[in-house]
Amino acid sequence: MAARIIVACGSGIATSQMVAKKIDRLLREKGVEADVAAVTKEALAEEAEGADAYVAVVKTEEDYDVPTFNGVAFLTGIGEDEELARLVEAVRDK
Amino acid sequence: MRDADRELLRPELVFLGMDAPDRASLFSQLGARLAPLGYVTPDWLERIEERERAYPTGLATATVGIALPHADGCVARPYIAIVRPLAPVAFEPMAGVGDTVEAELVLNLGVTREGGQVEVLQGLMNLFMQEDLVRRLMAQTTGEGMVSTLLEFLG
Repeated sequence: MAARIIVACGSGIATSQMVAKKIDRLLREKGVEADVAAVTKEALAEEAEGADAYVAVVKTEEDYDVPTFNGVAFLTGIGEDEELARLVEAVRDK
Repeated sequence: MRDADRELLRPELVFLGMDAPDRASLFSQLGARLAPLGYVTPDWLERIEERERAYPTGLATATVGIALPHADGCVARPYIAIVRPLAPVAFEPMAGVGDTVEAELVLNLGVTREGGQVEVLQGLMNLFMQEDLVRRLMAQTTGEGMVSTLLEFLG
């Protein structure tokens, strides 16, 4: 089964969709199968259950029981390679 | 790029040299320009302020500080407005990552949930990773120049 990665921003439009799309492409290029979904911050708690990774484009007060990644890196490209490597590590065998 | 995406960028949506000492001033000046052109609904200003407070959009890119303010449910017609203020305007950092961003360029994303404008946004983000392109963009002196430079890059 493919890993499930959720990406959240405040509205679930614009930034989270951009990041989700980019991650989807980067993982594909690495041959990693994953289901990448953009979600709103409100839906986050529910969506985090059952997800294999959470990419944050929004500040979250709570901690979720799922590996968390810095979504801003995928927007700016700064630190993107490191974040992608961690993400691949986390979802590869899911 | 789709025609619908190209049409998001228009010279009438480019505001160069806006004299805005802070975010509130920038938003109120921008709102006063967008509303009569029919791009936003009357509650835009209130919503964009609220959204920016809750979910800041300052982004320190590899080249310049930018901000991507956007709000849901108050876009009458999809658009991307570009403001280049006279002096950088402070925006809090997206996702709380890093310091306050001094935004030299503010891109107001008038996007809608079903609009599918992700590709053009992705293209814009790629642009800000490239110094030569950003230098060219920042050297533009007219709205027409700004739009044609962007469209040339976005393809």
